[in-house]
Amino acid sequence: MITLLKITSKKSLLVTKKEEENRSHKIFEEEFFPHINALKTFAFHLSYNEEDANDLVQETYLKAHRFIDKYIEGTNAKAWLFKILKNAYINEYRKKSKRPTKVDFEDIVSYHDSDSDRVSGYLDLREEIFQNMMGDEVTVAINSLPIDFRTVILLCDIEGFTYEEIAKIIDVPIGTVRSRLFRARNMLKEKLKSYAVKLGYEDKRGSRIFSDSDEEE
Amino acid sequence: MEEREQVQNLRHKIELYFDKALPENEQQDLLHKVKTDPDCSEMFNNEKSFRDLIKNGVKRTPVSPDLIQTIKERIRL
Repeated sequence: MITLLKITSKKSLLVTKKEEENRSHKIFEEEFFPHINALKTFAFHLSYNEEDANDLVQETYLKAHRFIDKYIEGTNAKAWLFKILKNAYINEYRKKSKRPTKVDFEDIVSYHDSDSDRVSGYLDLREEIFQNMMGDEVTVAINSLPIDFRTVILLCDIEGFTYEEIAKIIDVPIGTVRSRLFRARNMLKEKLKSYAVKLGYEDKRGSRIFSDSDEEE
Repeated sequence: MEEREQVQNLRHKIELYFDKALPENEQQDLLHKVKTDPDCSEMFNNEKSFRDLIKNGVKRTPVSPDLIQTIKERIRL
């Protein structure tokens, strides 16, 4: 009798294990792996290099596998994976970052000002300014942002996460997400404007912005 | 001063619209204003160009099939 119970129990354990493996396989194939390129892009812009980005992506999937029982099938897999990656980056890669992020005093002050800094105004750039921009300039501009600002741009403008999702991914209040986005976009516009000036852009609404070559003439 | 505030509010709404955070009823109002008000239309198009540039211009680095295979092997899929 005891032997029979043991065999039945062992058999049901095997069935359960097999079911768990099937569930895990299904989730990885249908919900997790479709986001691997998005994760890689995020990892690349956090770590600045291919090798670290690949390590981060790999670590993210290994952690997702380890904690798969905490994931509810059919929910927001992308946000869940991005949160794992962000935490992995903070825990292990930020310390040994090859390019430490510089945050100047002004950034810190404005960063803590939350939405009140909207009063200082939006940086207005005209449509034409973007016409001659290359992807390289955008990448350099994004990568030059301090990490907290870069992160919200990547999550919102590149990956299309909502404020609520971003707040959960990076563990900050929604107001902070909005404030960082506002600041980050203004910083980006400033940087892109500088590139545009170098390319010879002029703002037809007001005084002309001269390029280096114009000044030489 | 009032005009400046109105412009700031409009810009804020445009920003929320592109962030998909503007309530649906306000979306309709905004899109109507974009169609009928040249200044609003210009602001809207400027912001759209900026967002498009960021989204399309950023460097994307696809994952190699080898990395996917390595991950699958490590988690035994």
